[in-house]
Amino acid sequence: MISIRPIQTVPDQVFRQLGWEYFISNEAENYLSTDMVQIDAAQQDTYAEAANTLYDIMVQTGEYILQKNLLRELGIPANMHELIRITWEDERNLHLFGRFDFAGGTSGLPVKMLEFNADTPTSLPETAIIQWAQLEANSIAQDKQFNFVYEALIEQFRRLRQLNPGREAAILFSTLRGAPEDDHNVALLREAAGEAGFETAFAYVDEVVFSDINGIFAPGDVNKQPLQFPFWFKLVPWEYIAFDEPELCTMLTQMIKRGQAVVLNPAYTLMFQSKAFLKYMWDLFPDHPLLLETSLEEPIGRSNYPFVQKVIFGREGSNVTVYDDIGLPLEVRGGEYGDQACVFQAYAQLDRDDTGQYYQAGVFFAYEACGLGFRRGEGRIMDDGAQFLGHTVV
Amino acid sequence: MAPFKNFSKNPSWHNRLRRGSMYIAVATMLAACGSDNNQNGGDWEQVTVTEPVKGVITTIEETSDGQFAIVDEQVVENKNDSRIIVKRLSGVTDTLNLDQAKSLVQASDTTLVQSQNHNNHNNGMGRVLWWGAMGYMMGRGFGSPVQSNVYRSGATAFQSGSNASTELKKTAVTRTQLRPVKGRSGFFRNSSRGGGAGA
Repeated sequence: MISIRPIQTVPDQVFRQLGWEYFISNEAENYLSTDMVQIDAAQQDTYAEAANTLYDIMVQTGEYILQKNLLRELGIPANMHELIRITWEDERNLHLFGRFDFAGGTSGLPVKMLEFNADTPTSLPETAIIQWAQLEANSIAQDKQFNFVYEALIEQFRRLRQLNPGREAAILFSTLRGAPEDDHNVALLREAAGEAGFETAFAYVDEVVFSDINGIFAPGDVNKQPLQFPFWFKLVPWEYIAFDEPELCTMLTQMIKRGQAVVLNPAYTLMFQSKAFLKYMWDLFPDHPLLLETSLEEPIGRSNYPFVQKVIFGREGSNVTVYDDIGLPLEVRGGEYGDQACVFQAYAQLDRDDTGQYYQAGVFFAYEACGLGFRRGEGRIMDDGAQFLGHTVV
Repeated sequence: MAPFKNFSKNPSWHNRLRRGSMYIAVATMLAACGSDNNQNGGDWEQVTVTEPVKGVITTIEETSDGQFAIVDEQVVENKNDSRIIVKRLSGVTDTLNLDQAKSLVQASDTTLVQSQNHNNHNNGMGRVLWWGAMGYMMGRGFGSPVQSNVYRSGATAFQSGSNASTELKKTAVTRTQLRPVKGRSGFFRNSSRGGGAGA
């Protein structure tokens, strides 16, 4: 059983001052738990080592995918293929950060990789800052938490500058309109980029001006002309760009090819993002203790039950079905991605508490494993109703 | 093929001190709930970037098959008069305009190779143009100087590039005048992707 302790919450005023109103809004009611997970130092190391090992495996698998021309098998549309190859081979396109979702790691359960959110990972403010503020608010020593997410992001932005000599350090951040939690994630990234010496700006993606001759521009207001930004961080998934806005996909390919813009996270992270990638990780590293067997075909035979069916570009638990040990649906979540291809992943046991709730760990990776947070839900599928829990290392 | 290897094999985050300003800000807020310490930025208007007003005529010479060196760079009054004169080994001379030249520059050309002196064999047309004064016409920042190894050896070629670079920089204006001619916006304006992109 997982170990948790109750905590004093961070005062609302802090969220208001940070401009992170979403966390104290009705929409996010109960999102931030009043409990904290307690892990020990060995468990912390296990999570960190798992993420570091898996990222290496992912890079090797990515290389294999490109050598064997398997992008189509990952469900990646053809208009992304060139951009993925270009960015993969050009180190200026630094992968800033991603988040592994893990089952296990506590109560003696083995750590198993569920997926890797490589392109547009969120829950940055709660992992990097809010759970740290929970330490402060509860008079717990600072070193009692595996959380260097913010520092690691600053280091990554510095690295990004070093990898792009001769490119002006000005970065534009964008989200899709209407998702305040995404805006807060980007606000934190903006802060980290600023500390690394970047000039920063924000514009919703629909306001950004793209020119395949001149590059990427933030809109001007009444008195201002647009400003060009050599770096663009978009909290907009690459597959949305490829499927919904193919013209933008073409323009970005031209710009990136000509070196006029660096777009983050890089296009190659779409490979890592595809859940079909998990099948190839398993193929290359069969029976690896951190991996779950994953297949593109529905498993047959009891020895392969229970298992989980997921769509390849699903988010927040949408379109996921958990099948039990006789192959019958145990938990089903619908969603907007039902028309996508599916993968079938062996079921991994999630840790639980004394009320029967399920826990999943999120480990951030930014050049290396750099922080941990937890999600808690009533069911096995963590959706947007799952709570966030900070942690402390005891 | 050399894929990116920018991740650590020697993790180092254990027990590091936190020094980021956000921690300090939040700790201050917690300590003195009620103090006015608004973190909201919004200062992107202060970014000053520059673009050239004048143009450049660059003459390049083929030194061996597919390899080039700049022999001369001269500033011209009008950006649109920028030209690249290519003298090939075969004796043929071509003239390219700026847009034609831009299409020759590949992403890999714009990566600065550290050991410049040993890399003359890599000077394709795109790389040579990007790292000369012509590079400023193609979007390279003025903070990045012209690279001597893309010029023909001897003082005169590099001197012409340095002079052109100085002149372009001196006469450049802030990039607020560079309204994109073919710019498009409004992507995802009517998007059905509600509820954000988070994962």
